[in-house]
Parts: sequence; C-alpha cells; structure tokens
Amino acid sequence: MDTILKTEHLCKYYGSGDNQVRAVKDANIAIQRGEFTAIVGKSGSGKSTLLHLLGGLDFPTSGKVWMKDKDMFALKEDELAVFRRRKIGFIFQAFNLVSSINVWENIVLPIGLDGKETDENFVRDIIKTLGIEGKVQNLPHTLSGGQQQRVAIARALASKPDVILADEPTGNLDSKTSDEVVGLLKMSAQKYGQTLVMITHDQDIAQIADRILVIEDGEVVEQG
Amino acid sequence: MKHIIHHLALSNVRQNKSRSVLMILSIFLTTLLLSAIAGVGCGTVRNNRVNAGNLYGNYVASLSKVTQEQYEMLTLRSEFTHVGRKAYVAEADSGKAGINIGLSFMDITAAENTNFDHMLKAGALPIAENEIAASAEFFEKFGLVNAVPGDYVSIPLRRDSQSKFEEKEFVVSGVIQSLQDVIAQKSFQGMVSQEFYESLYPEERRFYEVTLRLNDTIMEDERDYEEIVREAAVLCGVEEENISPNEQYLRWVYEPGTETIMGCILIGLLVIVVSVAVIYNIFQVGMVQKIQEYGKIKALGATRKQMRKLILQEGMLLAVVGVPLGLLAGCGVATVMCRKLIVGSQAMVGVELENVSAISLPLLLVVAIAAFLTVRLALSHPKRVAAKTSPVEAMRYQETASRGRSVRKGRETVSVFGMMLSNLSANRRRTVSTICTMGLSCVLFVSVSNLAGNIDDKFEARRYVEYGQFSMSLDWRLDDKAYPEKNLCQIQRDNPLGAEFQEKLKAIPGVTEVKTRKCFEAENLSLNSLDLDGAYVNVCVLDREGFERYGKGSALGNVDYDEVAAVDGILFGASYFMADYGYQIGQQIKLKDMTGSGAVCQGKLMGSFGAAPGVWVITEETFDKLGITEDVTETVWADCRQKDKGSVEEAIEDLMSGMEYVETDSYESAVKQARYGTKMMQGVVYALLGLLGVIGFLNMANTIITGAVTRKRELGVLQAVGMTNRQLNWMMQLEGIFFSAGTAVISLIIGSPLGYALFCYARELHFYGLNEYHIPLLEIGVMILSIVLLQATLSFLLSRNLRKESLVERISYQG
Repeated sequence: MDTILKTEHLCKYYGSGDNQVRAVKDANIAIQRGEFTAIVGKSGSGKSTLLHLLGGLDFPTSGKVWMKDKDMFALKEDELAVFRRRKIGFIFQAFNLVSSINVWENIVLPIGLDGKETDENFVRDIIKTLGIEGKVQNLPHTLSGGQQQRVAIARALASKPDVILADEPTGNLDSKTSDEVVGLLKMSAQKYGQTLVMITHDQDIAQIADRILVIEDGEVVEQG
Repeated sequence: MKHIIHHLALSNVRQNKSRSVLMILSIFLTTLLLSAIAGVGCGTVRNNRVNAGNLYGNYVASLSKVTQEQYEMLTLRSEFTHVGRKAYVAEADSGKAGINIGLSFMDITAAENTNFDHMLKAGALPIAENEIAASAEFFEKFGLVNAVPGDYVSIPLRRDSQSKFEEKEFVVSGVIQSLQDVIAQKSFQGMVSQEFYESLYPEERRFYEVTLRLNDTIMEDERDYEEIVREAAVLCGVEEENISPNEQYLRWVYEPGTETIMGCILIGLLVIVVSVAVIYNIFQVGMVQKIQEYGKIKALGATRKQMRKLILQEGMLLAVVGVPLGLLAGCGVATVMCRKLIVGSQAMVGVELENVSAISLPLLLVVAIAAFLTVRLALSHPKRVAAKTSPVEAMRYQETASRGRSVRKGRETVSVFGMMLSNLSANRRRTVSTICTMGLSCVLFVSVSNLAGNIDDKFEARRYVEYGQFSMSLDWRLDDKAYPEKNLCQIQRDNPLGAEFQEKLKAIPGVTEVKTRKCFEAENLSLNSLDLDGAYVNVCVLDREGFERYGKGSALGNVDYDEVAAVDGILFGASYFMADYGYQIGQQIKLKDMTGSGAVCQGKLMGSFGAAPGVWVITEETFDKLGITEDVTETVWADCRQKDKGSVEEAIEDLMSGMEYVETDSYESAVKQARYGTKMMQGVVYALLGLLGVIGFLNMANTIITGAVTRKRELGVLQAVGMTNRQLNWMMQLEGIFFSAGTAVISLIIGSPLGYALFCYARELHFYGLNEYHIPLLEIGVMILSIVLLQATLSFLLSRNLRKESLVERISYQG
C-alpha cells in the first residue's frame, strides 16, 4: 500500500508567550491508501485541529502536509480550494448541508463547483447504498439527523476524492443511528475504494477502524 | 425585569452592529429629510409672512382707472389708510428697437405701498416739475452714464400714440436700483413728479392706479377684506372690474401659508412611507437571526408585553442616536436653503428682506415625534411577530425561509449561479420585500425624473428664438397715428428684412439656412366690442411646421394645417382669450390687409392656438390667395454651424448697423437663461430623491449583509467543500446584481408609465420646459449605475470581510 496522506513535523500553535496553546505538536503521521484510520482523543486534545490541517482548512504554524506528492500548503488559496474539492471529502459533526438546496443538489455540489459533469449513475449508486433514494428532492431541514449525515457522506463520496475526512460524524446522533452511520461510512469507503480518516472521542466507534491514532495534548501516537 | 429588558435591548443593539449602524443611518436620513423639509417650509412661510410687504407690496388692493375725484373720495373713507396713486405719464424713445421705456408718476404713499422708496440708491423721488428718478440703465439709454442726482438728461417723450416725441430736459433727483429681470426684458421705467404729470394732462384726463391699505381696526376683525375693499371702492365710483386685491400679500399676512404647509406635509408623508418600509425591512430581516434568542427569553418567562417592549426598546435606542443627529443636520440644510431663498427673493424684488430663521423648536419637536413614530410604526409588525412566536417553535427555528416547503425540484447540476438563485428563492419573502422597498425609492426617482429630466432648455429657449441661431424681427406698432412710419404696414412697405436683406444674410460665410415668417397688419372688419386688441391687428402666416409647433398644448378647435388650408380658415392666436374677446368657432372673420393691397381675408374661425405669434393666424396657402405683393416678412432666422457662430454674429451685427425697426436675439443667450432655471429646479428635486434613494439602498445593504452574516457558516462550508474565493465573491456579486436588476425592473415597469402620465399631465399644465417626451435615459442610467456600483462595492467588501475569518472559524460559527 502506498502513502496517500502524510504530515511532516506538523505544528499548530495559537497565541503567544504564556498564553500559547499548542494544539498540534510535531505530528508525523502517514495514512495509507484505502485505510480506515480513526483519530481519537479527549475534548480539547487537538484532534479537530489536526483534521482541519489534514484537509487544508486551516494553515499550520510549521510543518507540511503531503497529499500523495503534493505539498498542500504550497498551493495558493484558490488552488487549495480546487484541490480540496477534487481530492478531499469532508463530513462534519453538524452535517453542514446547504439549507436552500435539496439533497441531490447538496450531494453534487462539489462537482458543480468544479464545473464538471455529474456521473449520475455513480451518484445514484451512492444514494442507494446510503438508503436515501426517497429523499433526493427533500430540503435538508426535513430530514432527521441520521439522514442528514448520510447526505453529508454522499456529498463527501460523490466527487470521488482520494481521502474522506470525517470530523466526529456521530457527535450529533443517538447511539443507534451512530452505529448505522459509521457502518455505512466504512462500507461505502470500502465499496468505492476511498481512504477514510475519522475523528471521534468514542473508543467503541474507533474500534471498527483499521488503525487508531491517539492524540493527547497535541501529540499524536499510534495505539498499540 | 424592566431593567433587564432595557439591558437585553442594549446588548442586542450592540451585538448586531451592522444592522444597528444601518438603522441609525436610515433614521438619521429620514429625520434629516423631514427636518429639512419642515425647516424649508417654515422658512418659506416665515419669509413670506415677515417680508410679505417687502415682497408683494404693503397694500391690500390696487384700483385702476381711478379719476381725480374718485381718488379724493377714497382718501376720505374711514376703511382705508395710505391711499397712494400712480399714473402712466409718457412713452420715451431711446432710438433703439426692442426697448420699452415709460415714464410714470408715483406719490410718496404709493412709493411706500409698493416699496419703491426702498429702491432708491441715491437722492430722492421727484418733486419739482423737471425732476426724474430712474435706474442707471434707464439713464444710459439717453446717453447719461453713471448718473448721480443733479445730473441733467434730455429725454424724447410723448403722451400717447397720437402725439409726436418732444425733447424734455430733466434733472436727476434720484437713482433707483436696477432689477435683473427688468433689464433682461428690456423694459425700463422712470419716475417723474406730480407737477409734471399734471402739466401734461388736464384733470378730466387724469387716471390713477391707486394702492391702499385697510384701517388697523378693520384688520383686527376676521372679515373678508376683499369684500370690504370692494364695497367701499364701488361706493367711491370705482368700477368693480378695476379692483384687484393684492392676493399674495393678503394670503401671506392673513393666512398661514396653507399651500406651502400642505406641500411640505405631502413630501414629508412620502418620506415617512419610504422610511417605514425601509426600517421595517431592516429590522424584519434581522429578526430571523434573533428569533431563537427571543424564544429563549420567552421560555425564561418573558410576557408578550415584555417581548414587544424589548423590540421597541431596540428600535428606540437606535432612534435616540439617529433622530438628534438628523435634526441637527436637517436644521443645517434648512438654514442654508432658506438663506438662498431670501437672497434669491431679494435679487428679484430689489428690496432688502428681513432675515428669518428656518428653525422652529415646536416644529423640530413635531419632526422628532414623527421620526420616532416612523420607527415605532416600522417596528409594529416585528413586535407582533416576536410576541406571538411560541418559545418551542422559536428555539427550534432555523434560518431558512423555505420553512413550510419540504421539497425542491432542483437541478441536476449545481453552479454558482444556481446557488445564488436557490438562496434568493429560499428567502423569497426577504428577497421580494427588499426589492420592493428599494424599488419604491427608485419608482419615485424614475417617475419624477420623467418630469425633471424632460425639462428641455432648448425648447424653453425656442419660445424666444424659434429656429436657427439668430433671430431678427421687426419692431413694430399698430395704428400709431403720430408715427405712422413705425406701424407694421408702413415698415413693410420698404421692409428692412426683405429679400435683399435675406440675400445678404445667406451670403454671410457660415450661414447654412435662412428661414422667414410673414406677418401683416390688418383691420379687423369683424371686430367684436369685447375685443381689447382694437381694430388693427397683426395676422401671422404660419407654415405647416409652425402649425405643428403652436398646435401642441392648449389649442382649441381644428388646428390641422391641411384642413384649415383647404377651407382658407382663420385661427385665433390665444385660446385663453378667445371667448373673453367674444369670438366663437365657426363664425366668419374678415381681415383687411393694411399693407397696400387692401385684400380682404375672409374665412371661418376654425379654432385657436394656445399662444401663437399673432392675434390671427392663416396658412401659407390662404396668404398666397390674397395677392399681397409687398414683402411682409416679419421675422428672419439664420442658422449656422456651431464653429461659425462668432463670425456670423459679427457679420449680422455689421449687416444690421444703422438699421431701424429691427431687433435681434440669439439662441445661445436664450438657452443660457433657460438653463439656469432648470438647474436650480433639478438640483432640489434630485437631492431629495437621491436621499430617498440612499435610504432605500441602506435597506438593500442590510439584506445583503444580514444574508451574508446568517449564512456565514454555510458559506464557510461551501468553501470547505471547494468553493474558491473567486466563486464566493462572484456569488455575492450575483446576489447583489439580482437585487439591483430587480429594483431596476420594478422601477422601470412601474415608474416609467407613472412618470409618463405625470409628464403628460404637467405638459398640459404648461409646466416649465416640457415639450417632447423622451425616456430620461441619463437619469435612469445614473440611477442604475449608482445602485450597481454601491452594490458591487458592498458585495466586494463583504466577501473580503468574510474571508478575514479563517475557514475553521466560519464553519464553527454558531450564529
């Protein structure tokens, strides 16, 4: 397996002097293609910051993030946005669907922003896989939390990205729905051959991952 | 709890900074407009009241054709005081065509009544038989430059058109101030003494124009002053039709200036309507953001009344800042405008006017109350909404106007344009209300610019110089027995504007076209006893173009050239007077040419022009049939290329040097005069509308800003999933463009027909300079460009401002 996502001495500090918070300290991790990695840590441990850095949403204080052989932070702002929509799929805890457009439009949004034709069959297959066929014309506010998160997963998968980054995707869901969503997430990542990095504070959910990284006070370590 | 509500309102105001600033600005501009309108109205009323005497004369009525005996009786009446008299004395001849100079006598009381005494720059009014007082320009006409009291001046004068001019030497007793419009009209008056007047006219031929005031005791009663004057004057033998009340003076002294006040109230109401819509919309758009919070407050135990109070306090806190600032600025604007009004009136009447203040404390209080009420009115709906919303519903509430809709058909693919449309359609109510409110200001602008933008200086100037660049016309009289050579028929027997002159004119290098109009003197054989023009009249010959030109406006009967020509019809020149002069459409009119042929023009009276350049009008065809052989050209117009104007003007001056009975005018000077008036009018109108437009724009700004703030997280997510900065900027611009385009469409669809109707109505009323209708493209263009520029700048700044926060911060934004 080849490395698809790699960090080199990645640091993110906020503030300065005595008030400095070291959210991520010298992180050196490598994610392999097709791997399902869970990053676990307590609240405030820096796991969301790490994910934001991996996805190019935030800029590091120092260090690098490589997606295949591309140094992400060497890209200009708009190039980075294009890079994100093509290579990375995001799933957020709060679903973050666009309220004014329907489910289908939310799913094909990154493709549309890229000005590309939608692979309709592929998208319909994802929708079917996630069990939201009957909801494509619904507006997000009419869906339950679990359904909204399935739409978010479909959106992350639709543009066939290299990596899917999920930030506490079950944080807003009850335990039954959480299990369902994580199961679907893992299954679809496997089905569509995508690499999945998921952040969670729930050790049970992390257990279904191929690999678990633990972050504590900004330092990332591999779990035995 | 009371204290807490206030505290909450204050913190809400602080939290929604952009909305608060926009609301303060709207309230400020509304108050500014209201106080400026009130101030200008107040200043106008005060100026007219305080300066009524100075502006319109200190008399309640003037009586004309008053005999010596009647005058003496009037002075004895207890109702009257300050009975002054004035009389026409003689006509003076400056030797120059186109200038009217008259001599009058006025006693000191009449001078006081008409403020003539204030106009004396030096010396005194004439007392001795050979004394005269007049303006410096008057004296210049007789070769006396820089006249001072004591100078001698010789003036050729005659009593009436039956007498010859005779030189009379006068001593200058006083020099009076020159009035601009009198100079422009080329009309001058000199004042001579009573002794001189009486030396020219025996008692039975003395007729006065008497001005008088009413006794103070009468003025204290609330009675019909006009009626009192009429009764008393008629008892003294004055004909009723010769009594003219000084209506302006009476109106301003004894009435509160109702028309001005009504006008101000109407404009004020218009401002209030626009402002209520804008402030309501600004607040309502922001409400959506706050509804969850209002729900929490309600859940914690706030009553409906307290919720209403909270909203009202939020608005009032902003009004407390905006209203005083607006009042201050409005007072400043009103003071400046009022000062301009007084200076302008002063220049017109030539009398120093008392300065009045445009500021009235009670009025400012009324304006402040109106401004607060405007805010209160605008908040009445948001207040109800906040009070009605149930806590559970409000806390669950999510910012999306697509509530109620559960599905959306959508599109197969998504683009930036599609995202913009989906957002606007999801917030349909907000989008429509913003466009409508902004549209309202713009509808007003477009409607009024259909009037103001159609004021045509050139059309106004063409009333004076109908064609080309220069006009040369005969300066004639009718039936002057003493100087028959000055009569139109006599001048035309050796017409200075005849064929030879026209040929010379055409030969001037640069002259491109020469046009002429015929007009001849005739004896009216069908003279009516009511016709004040007398037996000798001028008959103008109009061509097809002239018919079209003068046929617009208030014409009566048939003024179609072909139909009139076909039956050799005759038209009356001034529709307003036709009935008064006793003429009726369909009657036979007979006009006998006085130029020499003796031909009789006989035809049916087909109708009347509004104001044609002759008492009677016939067509070219009818004229040709008369067989008049003399050259009856009355006016010649010369046109030339723009670049040759200077040289052509010089050549025309050369050509006309030493020529008698011809006056000239240039199109350029006529345009200049018209332009000044137009600019003044347009300036005031556009300033008012511009401010209303700014208030309307603040509303659009609020909608765009609120839209961006409430969607901060959503926009962040869009960027996280790959929307570039350029795409974000473009999306925001597109939203703004949609608002601008919607506003422009509404303003054009509603404003244009409304404006056109307004234009037609105003043209019927002969509103200044209105002629051909054209869509005011320049004004509309400037309006649209301003909206687009303001919106583009706003969208650009907003999208840049949004990007100041990191993507992570935006995604985590909790509203």
